Amino acid sequence: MKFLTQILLFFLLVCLAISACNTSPAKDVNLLAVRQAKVQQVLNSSLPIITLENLDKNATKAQEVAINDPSFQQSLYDPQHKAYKNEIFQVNPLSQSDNIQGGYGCPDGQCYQVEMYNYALNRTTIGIVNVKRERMIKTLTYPDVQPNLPEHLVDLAVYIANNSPEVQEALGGKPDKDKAIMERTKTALNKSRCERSMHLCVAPTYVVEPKALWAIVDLTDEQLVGTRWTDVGTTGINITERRLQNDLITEKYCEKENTYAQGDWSLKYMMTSSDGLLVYDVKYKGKSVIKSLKLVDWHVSYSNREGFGYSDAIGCPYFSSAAVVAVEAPKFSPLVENNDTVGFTLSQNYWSEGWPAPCNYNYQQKFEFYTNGSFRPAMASIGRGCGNDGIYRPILRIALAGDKQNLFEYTKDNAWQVWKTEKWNKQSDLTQYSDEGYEFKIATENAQYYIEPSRGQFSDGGRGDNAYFYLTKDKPQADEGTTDLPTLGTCCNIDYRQGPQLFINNENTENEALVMWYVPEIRNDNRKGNEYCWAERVLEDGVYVNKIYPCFAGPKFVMIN
Amino acid sequence: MFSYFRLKLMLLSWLISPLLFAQDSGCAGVPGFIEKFGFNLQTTAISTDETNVVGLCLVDVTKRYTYAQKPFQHETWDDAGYLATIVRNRDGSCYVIPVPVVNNLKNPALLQNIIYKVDGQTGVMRKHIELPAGDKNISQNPYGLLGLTNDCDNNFFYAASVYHSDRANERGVIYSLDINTKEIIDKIENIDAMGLQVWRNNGIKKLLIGKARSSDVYSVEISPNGKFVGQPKLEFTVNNLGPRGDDRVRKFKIDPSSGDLLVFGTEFYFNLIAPSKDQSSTYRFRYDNKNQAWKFVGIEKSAY
Repeated sequence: MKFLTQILLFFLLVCLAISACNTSPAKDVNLLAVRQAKVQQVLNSSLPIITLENLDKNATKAQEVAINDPSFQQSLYDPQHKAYKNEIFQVNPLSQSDNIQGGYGCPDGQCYQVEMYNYALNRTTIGIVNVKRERMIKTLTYPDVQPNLPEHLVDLAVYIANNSPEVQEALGGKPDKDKAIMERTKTALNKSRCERSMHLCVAPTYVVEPKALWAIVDLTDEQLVGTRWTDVGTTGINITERRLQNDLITEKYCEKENTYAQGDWSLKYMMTSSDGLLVYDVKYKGKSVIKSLKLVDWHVSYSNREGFGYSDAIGCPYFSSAAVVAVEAPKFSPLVENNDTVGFTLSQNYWSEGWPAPCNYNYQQKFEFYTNGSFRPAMASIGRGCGNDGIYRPILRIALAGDKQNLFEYTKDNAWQVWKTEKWNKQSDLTQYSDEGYEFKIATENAQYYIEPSRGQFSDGGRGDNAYFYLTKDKPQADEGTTDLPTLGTCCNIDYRQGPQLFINNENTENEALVMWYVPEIRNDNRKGNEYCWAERVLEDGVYVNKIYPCFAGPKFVMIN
Repeated sequence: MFSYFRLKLMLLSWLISPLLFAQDSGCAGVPGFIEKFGFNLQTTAISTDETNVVGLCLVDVTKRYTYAQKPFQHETWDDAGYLATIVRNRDGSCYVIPVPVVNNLKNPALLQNIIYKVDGQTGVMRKHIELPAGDKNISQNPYGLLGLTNDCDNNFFYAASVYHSDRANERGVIYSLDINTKEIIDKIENIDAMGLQVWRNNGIKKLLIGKARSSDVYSVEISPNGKFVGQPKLEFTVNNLGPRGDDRVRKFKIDPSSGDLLVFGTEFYFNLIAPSKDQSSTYRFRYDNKNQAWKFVGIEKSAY
């Protein structure tokens, strides 16, 4: 009964995927929907292997023998018996040279080579089958090897590319599907790679003389990775995921100043070599309010191992001092609170290639700009690190605009006491907050803000900052962070010595240009249901996806009047 | 107080390889300091690749080291920060270059163009040759030396530096050096390189050069007096090979049994990310004398 239901469901999905089910020509088929329906059906079946169709008699027999052989079924399930997405890519007669070199001793024409790809593990299994004897002769497994694509996956890759907004925007409209498939000289499926995700990727390429548009398609996740124009004459170097991503970040954000304006806000932003995304020259209602915001370093230490940890810089992927690099472009998105859009967010991710495997890292910066003039620079670790005893201490540098600034600390009874000289403090149980939750107030020529540290009140899952707060005089000539800072301090100091204390010299801070350094202290957690600064890979629809538990921290600057 | 580096799994190994003295071949002499420090030559390796160790150390391969119990280090062996590429001379002296790992805390960017010598008898490590350095674009390029090799027929060493390079400018230099007199014999400018290897074929001696900005391997002929003859020429590439397809060649090794060239590749984009050992591959190439070209034989399991 269950099997029949699955079959019916499959056909229903196929019909839904085809516009005007019984009359539409083949070109209208939504290949992606058909594919996804088929994957679901196979994953739920007793033998989760997507098989090749329309094979001749011998090849069909070879495939049948292979998929039913226990040696060929070694990587069908994960340890929890959830099915991986496996697919037969090729079934071909064994070549005579392979027959001889492999020592299979197959009489001419009796042996076939069956190639199966495991999307989750990026692994190819090859079975050598004697069809006459209906026996598997040998099974070989190749990690990190991807077989040649079958025709239907070529079609799927071209379909995904043709229907992506990026390709259509680049080509000035949707490419003709039939023309693309038939005229291989105009559109070819170039070999490509996804070195970072280690997914199966190819690149439908559209020639528009004198250039060619490469569209990298990830067939593991069944989505477009990105596009890039090249000169048609360029040979040798294929466009791949990493090259595409590195070139995009480098050209558009590391080497170029970017501007953005929305509502009353305008700002500039750029990727730095080792201080993350720099947001600067920020104006609100035409007045300069922020000189610069950036994330200088991430200090990570492990409480169970004294002195163990590291100082990670974040930044550009190519020619930089960053240990964890930007992979995707910065993103702007609406800032929504209580179903109301109250501003916009600029966010940027950085990650190690092996993340979320142990000892790999993923960091995020976000800058929230509120319509009412408030703003919040925040950051998160998204794991996973080298253990469940990790403490993250990101170093946020905040310089407001103005040469005459004063910082006040809330004491009690609505009293605010000015900080007269450079110094630091630590957010703790003894910290005094105003009724609204403000710890500091800063006044410049153009604006005044309350400073509200996170105590878990923000709606991004943050559980509180426990931050060190340092105030220093802004000295642009003194190499104290105006330009890119090299690694600031060691990873593993467990007190105020996180780096900014080096710039504290008891100098006057009244009516001066100031720099605030904000260093939250965030403990990770991997306990089930309490995950924080953590990530893990889970198998979904036969492939691994990342489940993330970010730990956002950062103070909100609440504009006064 | 120093920051320990991450677990062995993630150690930056693209230039690094422990050398077991008893297994070594070529012209590398056995350092006298091994036995002087109480180690058995048969079971001892010299390494720059050990967990929680900054610099050089001696590893007894029969022992299991822990976070608390670290391998032996002479007091001078961490003076230059993280190190790489151990090249041993006939007298057992070891030559190493500094390479930053994850950050510049232990490897200040302005001190990355120095070849260090570990005296074969005393084990003391000192600066040996300070190659031209000076101002550099630190934020764009934390590196200096990336490659070092020697010629077993003489005292010539070859070193690859990218000290003055940045994103827009390939200003690397390959130096030919007399390791005894510390004299710079010759240099090739404007080439960023990593792996270096002296290779002889049909009586001609060449320096193989793994490019740092691409997956290509070049060669340049070297004369008996250590001078470079002509300009580097393309030999082969590892582009599109292996699981990543964009590896840079960090090291070469001649397989003594077959004469094949083992080419060690890894990801490298002039940043401080730490590729794991999983992200390194060994490619086997064989020279076809008839066609005077390299033939790719296959990919082997990573070897360290």
